[in-house]
Amino acid sequence: MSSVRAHSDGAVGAVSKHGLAILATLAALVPLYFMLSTSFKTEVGYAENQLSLPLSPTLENFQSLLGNPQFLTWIRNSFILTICSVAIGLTVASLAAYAFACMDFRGRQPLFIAFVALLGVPSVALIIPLFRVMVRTHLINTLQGAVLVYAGLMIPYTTYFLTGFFRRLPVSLFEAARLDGCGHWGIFRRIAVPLSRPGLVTLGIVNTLWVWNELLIAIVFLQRSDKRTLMAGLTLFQGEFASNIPAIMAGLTIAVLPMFVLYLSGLRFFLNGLTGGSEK
Amino acid sequence: MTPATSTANTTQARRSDIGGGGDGTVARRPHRRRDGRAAAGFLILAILLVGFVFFYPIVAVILTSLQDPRSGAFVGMTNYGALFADEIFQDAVRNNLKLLVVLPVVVALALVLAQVLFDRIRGWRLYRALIFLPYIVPVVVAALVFGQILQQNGLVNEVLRFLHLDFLAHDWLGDPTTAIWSLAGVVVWRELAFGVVLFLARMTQLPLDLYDAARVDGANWWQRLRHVTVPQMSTIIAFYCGIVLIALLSWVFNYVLVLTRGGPGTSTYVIEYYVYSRAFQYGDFGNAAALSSIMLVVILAAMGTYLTVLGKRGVL
Repeated sequence: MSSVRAHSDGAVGAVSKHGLAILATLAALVPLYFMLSTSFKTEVGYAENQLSLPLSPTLENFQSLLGNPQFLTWIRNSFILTICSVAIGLTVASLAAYAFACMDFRGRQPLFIAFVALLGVPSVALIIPLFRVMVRTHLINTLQGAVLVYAGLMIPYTTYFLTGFFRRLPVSLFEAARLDGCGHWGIFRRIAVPLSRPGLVTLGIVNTLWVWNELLIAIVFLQRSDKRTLMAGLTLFQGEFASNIPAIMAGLTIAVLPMFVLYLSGLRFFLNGLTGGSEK
Repeated sequence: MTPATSTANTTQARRSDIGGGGDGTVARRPHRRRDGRAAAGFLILAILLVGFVFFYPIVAVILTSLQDPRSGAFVGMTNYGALFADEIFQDAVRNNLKLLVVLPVVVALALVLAQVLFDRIRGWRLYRALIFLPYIVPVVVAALVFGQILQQNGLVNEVLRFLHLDFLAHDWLGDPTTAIWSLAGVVVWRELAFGVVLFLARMTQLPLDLYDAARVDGANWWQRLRHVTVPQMSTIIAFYCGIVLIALLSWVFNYVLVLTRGGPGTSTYVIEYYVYSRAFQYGDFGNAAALSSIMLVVILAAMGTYLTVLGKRGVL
């Protein structure tokens, strides 16, 4: 099958297809190569040639960053924020999704519409009143406050997708569990959640990427330098060290690393879960 | 139901997930009886969080937009008048509209690349994994890397000089005429990946006999893409267009903040950056609140109408 398809457009077709695929791959990779190779260069080495491999690779940039307590604080803050808000957001959203998908109650449809309508709301439109509330409740410049905002912002989207997952679980399982005397809580814990693992993992990854990468909330709500996230820190760091490009690139490499590991470990889940296991 | 059919069933059912909790054809209500009290228990935390992050701020920002930013007195639409009279705001809207050029570019590129990979060329899995990489790169990182690459002495200009195309080399982000298009290019670089993977995944679900029939009829590669793939995938293409559209109008803040901070001049100001800089750099909450309210009303009205229509058709 596959060979038939691959060769059916002739040699010219195959060459131009590969050409296109290679071009797209190069376009995707060159900036990343630039970041990685520069991070192993000295400033002088970078000035000499921007595109070459680091001819005498140095770990100096990484060493100075990882020896910098401020940089380590940013990393720690980002980890705490990401883990806490994804855990809270996912738990709260899956409970709500179960109610929308598997329970019958008055006002279900309007409430679901109210949740889903929030999907397209950009956080910048909410930031002024949120900022005022955070100041009034002394949650400004605290990781707890930012966790609440991140977890809240991910709820509409996460609830919407999980509702879809829960609705598609085989109804016979629910009936069997019910006959065995399981209540909603039992069905949620023993059936709905375990069977929706691909969906939960995918949404976990999507939300992790989002919080780790978020910038607006991070710079508005966490302005004290000991509360900064890695992304906010790097953005400002660019201003301070504008001349030392290899040092900046080393910082960026470190910032990408956790997401890269997550991507590799969840690659199968991610590419498939994104479209609901469409691939065999 | 045997285990085999039950697995087949769930796989089948999960296929259209990305389209959303969307097609209710397989939606089920396991329990017909009313379970309002239990539902309240499941929903309470979500309602509290959403109330805190969405419902309260939406009401509050609309009220703020009707008040004088200093005295707090009710001033009707004054802030809105000031907003529309502000030339920087007009520039911001114009720049958001310019960014819409990205939409057809990423959709077309994603379709072509997905179709190329779908033809199972040798190594397509590797291509797919590599092409997807930009999507996991944080916008801040992408923007900082491109910020260097696009500088006067950056990689792009070095390569152009190497190719003896010196006349093309210039400060891509520092020149007001090219800054917004350079920014658009960075957006394409990062957002394209998701489209390719999304389309490719959907293509693998299309019935292959359609392609065989098209081939028997002598359709070439472009004709197959145009007349078989595109019509078959209209829903997912529309979905992707929706995401990209929303992103271009209201999720480009990170790119702008890191790459240009709205400059040079106001040449890369966008709506979001306007709200941010008005409120948090100039301390002017009036215009910013008015603009926030307009964004909210437009988005919520559009989403509400769309969802109500879906709900009436029973496909929500």
